[in-house]
Amino acid sequence: MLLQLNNISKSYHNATGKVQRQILSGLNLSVEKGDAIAIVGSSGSGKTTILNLIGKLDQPDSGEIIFDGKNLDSMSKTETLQFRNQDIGFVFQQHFLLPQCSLWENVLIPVLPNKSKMTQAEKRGEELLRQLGIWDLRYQKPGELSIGECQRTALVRALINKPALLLADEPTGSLDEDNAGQLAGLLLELNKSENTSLIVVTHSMSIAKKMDKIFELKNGKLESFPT
Amino acid sequence: MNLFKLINSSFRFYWKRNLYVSLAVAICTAVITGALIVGDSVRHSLEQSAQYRLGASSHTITAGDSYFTQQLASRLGENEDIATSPVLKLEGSVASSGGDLRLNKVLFWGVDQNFKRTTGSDYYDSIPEGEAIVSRNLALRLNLEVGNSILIKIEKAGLMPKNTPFVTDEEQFVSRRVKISKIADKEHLGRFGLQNSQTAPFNVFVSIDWLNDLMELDGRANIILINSEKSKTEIDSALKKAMSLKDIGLSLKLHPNKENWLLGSEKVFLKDQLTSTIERAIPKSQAVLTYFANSIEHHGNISPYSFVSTFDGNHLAENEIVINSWLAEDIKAKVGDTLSLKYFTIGLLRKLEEHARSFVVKEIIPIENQKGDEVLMPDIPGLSDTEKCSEWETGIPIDLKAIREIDEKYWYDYGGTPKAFVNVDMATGLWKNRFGTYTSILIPAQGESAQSIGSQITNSIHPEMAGFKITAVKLEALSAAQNGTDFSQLFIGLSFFIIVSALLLVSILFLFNLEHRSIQIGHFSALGFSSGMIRKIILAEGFLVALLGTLVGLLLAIVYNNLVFMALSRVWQDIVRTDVLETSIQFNTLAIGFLASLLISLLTLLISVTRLLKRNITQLQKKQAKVAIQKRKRMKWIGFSVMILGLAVLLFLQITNESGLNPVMFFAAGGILLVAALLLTDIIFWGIAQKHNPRLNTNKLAWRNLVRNRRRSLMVIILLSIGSFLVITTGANRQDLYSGANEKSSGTGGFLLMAESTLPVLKNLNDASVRKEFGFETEFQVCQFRKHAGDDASCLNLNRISNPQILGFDPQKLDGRFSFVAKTDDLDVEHPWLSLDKNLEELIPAIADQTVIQWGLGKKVGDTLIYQNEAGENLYLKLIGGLAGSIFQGNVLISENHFLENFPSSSGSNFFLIEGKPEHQQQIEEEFQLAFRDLGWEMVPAVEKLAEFKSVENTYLSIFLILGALGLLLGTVGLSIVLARSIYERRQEIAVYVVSGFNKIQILNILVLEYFYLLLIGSLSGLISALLAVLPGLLNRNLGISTWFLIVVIATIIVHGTIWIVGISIFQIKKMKITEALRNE
Repeated sequence: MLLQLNNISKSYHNATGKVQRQILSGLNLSVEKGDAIAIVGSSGSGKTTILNLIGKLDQPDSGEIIFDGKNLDSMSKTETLQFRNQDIGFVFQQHFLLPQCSLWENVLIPVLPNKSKMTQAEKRGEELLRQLGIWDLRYQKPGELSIGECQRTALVRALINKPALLLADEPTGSLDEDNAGQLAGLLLELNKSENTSLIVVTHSMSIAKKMDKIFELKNGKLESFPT
Repeated sequence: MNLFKLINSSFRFYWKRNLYVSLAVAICTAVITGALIVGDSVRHSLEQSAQYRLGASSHTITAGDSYFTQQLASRLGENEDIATSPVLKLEGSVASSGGDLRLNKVLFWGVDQNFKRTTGSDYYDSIPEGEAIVSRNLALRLNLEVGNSILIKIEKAGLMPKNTPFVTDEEQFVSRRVKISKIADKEHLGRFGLQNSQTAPFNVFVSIDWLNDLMELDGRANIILINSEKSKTEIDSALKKAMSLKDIGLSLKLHPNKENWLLGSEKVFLKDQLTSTIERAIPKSQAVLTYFANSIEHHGNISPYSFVSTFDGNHLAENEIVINSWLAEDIKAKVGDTLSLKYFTIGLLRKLEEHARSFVVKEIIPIENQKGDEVLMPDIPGLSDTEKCSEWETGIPIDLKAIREIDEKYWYDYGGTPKAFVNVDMATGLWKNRFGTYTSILIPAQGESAQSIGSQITNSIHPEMAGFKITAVKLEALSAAQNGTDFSQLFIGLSFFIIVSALLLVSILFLFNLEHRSIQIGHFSALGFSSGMIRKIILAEGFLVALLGTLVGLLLAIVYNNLVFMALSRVWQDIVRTDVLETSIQFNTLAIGFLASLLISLLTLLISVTRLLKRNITQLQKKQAKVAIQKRKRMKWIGFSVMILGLAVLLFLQITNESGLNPVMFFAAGGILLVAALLLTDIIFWGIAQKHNPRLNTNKLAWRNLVRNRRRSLMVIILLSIGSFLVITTGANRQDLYSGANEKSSGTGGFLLMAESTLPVLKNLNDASVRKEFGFETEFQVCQFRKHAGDDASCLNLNRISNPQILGFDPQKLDGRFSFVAKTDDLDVEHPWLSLDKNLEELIPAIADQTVIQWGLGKKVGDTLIYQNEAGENLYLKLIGGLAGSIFQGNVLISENHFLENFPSSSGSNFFLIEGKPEHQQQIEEEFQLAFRDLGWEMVPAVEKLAEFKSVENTYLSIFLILGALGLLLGTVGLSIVLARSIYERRQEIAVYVVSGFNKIQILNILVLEYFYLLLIGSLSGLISALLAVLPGLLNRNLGISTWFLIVVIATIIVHGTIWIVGISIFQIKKMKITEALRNE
C-alpha cells in the first residue's frame, strides 16, 4: 500500500475560530503502487483539499495519512521536505512555471534542493522532454509557449525526481479538449511506464474515465463511482 | 452607473493601495512645499530681523568719517513728515568689571530723546551720564546684569582724519567705567544696527551729549536717523537746505583787515572738489595753502618751525620767496639771498620724509603789514590751540630744544602768522596730499556777512560732495532680505533626491496598483473602451489619489519646515547665525506647493499609465514578462558606446592637461560613468534574460529572477546608485578644513595669522622703528589693509549684499599668493594681484572670493560694483578675478592707491595678514596682543579663519548629505515595497518551491540573493562613479573623505538594505498561505 487516508476530517474556520464549513468528514482512501485514481466532485466539495493534505500542505483535523508505511503527521520538517521533493509530484490547473526561466530551467527547479542529483536529473529531464515532444522547446520561456506545452513542462517538472505519487489538481482545466485528452494520455502513459501512482482531481468525466478507479467526493466522503 | 461612479467606487474599493500612493505623494508634497515654506520663513525672519534692527527708521544720513552738528538733525526735522534724531556712532570694546571677559567690535550709540521719534522705541529716553543700556547678546556674552559696571574703551573721535599731516595720534581711545541701567532685548531695539546682516551686533547705548563730552566734541553726530515716507530725493533736497557750513566741516573767519573772509576746514586741508566748487561759485575767491616748515635756514642761521603760505605769493616765480622782516632779521637774510626750507611730507601710514628746497628772497615785507595773518594758520589741534611752542603736540616730531625764546615770543606776539610766502603752484606741488591741496579759501568780503557768504557756499555744495550719504535703510534691508539666500531653492535642491525617491515611489506604487488591476484594465479594452477613456478613468482615480496625498502633504510640509528650523537653530546654526527664526506660512506658497506637487505627481502618474497602456492587452491579461525589443537594445548599446567614448575623451584631455586636473570635468566624468554603468546593467540584464542555462543553480536562478522585471530592477538600481553617488560625492566635497592650508596657493595665502582691529593701526608695522616702538622682537612680515566699511558679503550673511566692505592694500604684498578660479582678461595670468594697480579708465580693478561674487553679490567676474566715494562721486569697481575660497571672504579687494584716491581720509589699517614661522606663532600673537590690545585687536590663525568659512560650506554639504541619506532611506523603502510586492506577486512561484521540497532557508536564499545583487550593483556603480568624480580630490589628498568613510557609507547602504530585504522576505514568506497561492482561480 503506497498511500492510505484513514478517517480524515477537515473543516475551515472563520476568523473567530468557529467552524465555518466541514469539508471532509471521515474520509478514507487507499492507493496502491501504480494506481491511477480520479477524484471527481462538485466545485468546493474539497477535492483540492485532499491533495493538499496528501502533499502535507495542509493538516487534517483528525484521521491519519500513511505514506509508504509512515504516518505523515509524525514526519519531521526535514522528512516533510524530503517527502515533497522525492516522493510526490504536483501538477496544477495553472502550470505555475517561472516566467523568467526557460523550460529546461523550470523542469530542473525541484532538483535544486538536492544538487547532487543534478546530472542524473538532467538526463531524466531530457528523456521526459523528448518523450513529451517538447525537447526542442527547452530554451523557450513559458511566455513564448502554448498553455498545453507549458502544462506538459509542468508535468516533467513534477516527475523529475521520480516521485512515487503524482498529484494532479485539475491538470487539464486550462486546456482545450484535444490538449486535455493528450495530457491525460501522457499522465497515464507515464503512470504505466514509470509505475508512478496517480491521483487526479478533475471535473472532467472524460478524463476521469481514463483512470483505473474513480471516486466521487460527496458530503466529505469518497464514494466509488461506477466506471 | 456612470464614469464618475465607476471612478469613485474604484477609488474607495482600492482605498488601501491608493492610500500608499497618496502617502508617497504626501512625502513629495511635504518636501517641495516644506522647502518653499522654509524659504518664506527665512525671508520673513530676515525681514523681522531688519525690523528689530531698525525699528521705525526709514533712512539714514551719514557723512563718512566726518561729524556734523546735532542741530542739522533738528533743522532737518523741522520739515514736515521727516522725523529725525542725531546719533553719534563709535566703535570700541567692552570689558566686564573684573576685566576677565572682553568683547571687541562693540558699537557705541550716542542717542538722545529724539531716538524714539525715529525708531519708535522709548527705551532709550534720557540715559543718565555714566550709564549705558547694553544689548542682550552683549550682556550674555559678558555675563552682565542690570546694575553691573563695565569698562568701555571707545575710539577717540576727532574732527579730522587720524593720519592728517601734523595731527597727533597719541590719544586713540577713551576709557570710562559705566553702569548698566538696562538690557535691551530685540523688542527694545537691542539688535539695532545699520549693516544688512541677520547677525546682531554687540551694542552699547549712551547719551549723545555724554559721548560728545567724552570725545571733546561740541554737539556732534555722525548719523541722522530718519523716520519718513519721503523719498531719498526729497530728503536730499531738505538736507541741502538744512546744511550749514559747520556741518560740512567749514568755518569762516574775517581777516582783521576786513577785506577778506577766510574759509577754513576742520580737517586742516580742504577737499579739492569743495575748493574748486567754491572757487567757481564765488567770484574772486582764492585758495590758499599754508604749510608747516621744519626750518628756514640761511648761512647756518636757522629759524625753526614756521608757517609758509601762498597767501601773498601769486606774483612770485617758482624759486622765489617773500619773507617777513622778523624772519629776515632772524636768519640774517636779504633780498637776493638763497634760503633753504625744510619740511615734512607724510606718506602712507604716517611715514615721514623730510625734504629741503631752496628759494631766492624776492622781497622782505614788514611784519607790521601782516596784522591778522595768523588766521592763515590752519586749525591744528595740539598746535594752533596752544599758548606756547613748548606745548605743541603734533603728529610730527618736534625738537623742542630747537625752539628759542624768540620763537616763543613770535608765537606769543604773532601766533601762526606765516613768516614766508611762496608761489602757489610750487607750494601745491610740494605739499598737496591725499587730504587736499589747500588749507583755506580767501573770499573778498565786499561787505557781505558771514551768513550770506555761508549761504552762498552751502548752496553751491551738494550734500554728496560734502560726503553726506542718504540711505533708504529700511527699503534696502527689506530688499536685501527678500533677495537674500533663497532657502526655498536651496532646500528644494538639497532635498532633490528625496523628491526623486518619493516620485519613484509614487510611480512604483501606482504601477503596482494598476498591475494588480491589469486584467480589469484589459477587460475595459475588451469591452470596447478606447485607450483614451481607460487613461481618463485611471487618471481620474489617480487625480483623487494625488489630491488626497497633496493635501496631507501640505500638513506634513509644516512639520518639515519646523524640523528644518529646529535644525537651523541648533545643529545647522552655522549657516543662519541668528536667533530670529520665525515660521511664516503664506497662502500663496501653500497654493504653489499644492499645485506644483499635484502637477508633478499627476505627471508621474500619466507617464506610468501611458507606459502601462503601451503593453498589449494580451500581455496585460497574461501578466507575463515583456520580451525586450531588439531595437531598443541596439539603441542602448549605441548610448553606452557614446558614453564610454565621451568618457575616454574627457579623461584623455584631463590626463594630458598641463594645468592640472579639473574637478568639474571629473565630476562630469563620474556622472557619465554612472549613466554608462546603468546602461550597461540594462544591457547585461537583457543578455541574462536571453541566456540559455544548460545547468541551473540557486545563483543562476537569482539572476533569472533579477531580470524577470527588468524595469523594476533597474529602477531600484538607479535609485540606489544615484543615492550612493550623491552621498559619496557630497561627503567627499566636505572639505578638510586644515589640509594644505599653509600653502601660499591656499585660501590663507600662506599667512600664519589674520587680525582685525576695531581702531586703526596708523603705522607701518614692517618698519623697524615702528616695531621697536611697539616692542616687537619676533621676526614677521605684515600685509596691512585699509578698510572702507560695508556689509558682510560672506557666506555668514544671508542677505543679498550690494556694497561689501572694501579692503585696500599694496598688491605687491600678495604677489604669488592665493589661487584664482575665475578670471577676466584684465587679470594678469603671471601676477594677478598686480593687475589691481591697473587703470581701467573709469573702472577700478577689484578682486573678491568667487563665492562672494556668485552667492553674496549675485554677480560674476567682469561685473561692476557701484559705491560712493568720499567726494560723493560714484566709484565703479570691476571684478576682474574670483579667488578660490579664502580668508578674504566677505570683502572686495582693491589696490591701496585706488583706495586712497577715493577714500583719502582713511586712517590706517584695520585688517592684517601676518607671515611668520609657525614655531613663533604664539610669541607673535602675544606681542601683537600686548601692543594693540587697546585697539580691539582680534587675532586668529589664518587656517582657523579659513576653516570657519569652510565649515559653513561643510554645513550645507552636511544638510545635503543628511537629506540625501533620507532620500536613500526612502529609496530603500521603495526597494522594500518592490520586494514585498514582488514576493506577493511570486507567491505561486514560492508555492512551487514549497511543493518541490525547498525549505524556507533555501527559498529565502533565492530571494535575498536576488535583491542583494540589486543592492550591490546599485551601490557599487554609485561608488565607482563617485570615486572617478572625486578623483582629483583623492589624488590631492585634501578631501574631507577617508577610505573608512567610503567603506562605512557603502556598508551602511548594503547592510541597511540587506536588513530590509531579509526582514521583508521572512515576513512575506511567513505570512504566505501556500494552499491559497496554489488555488486554481
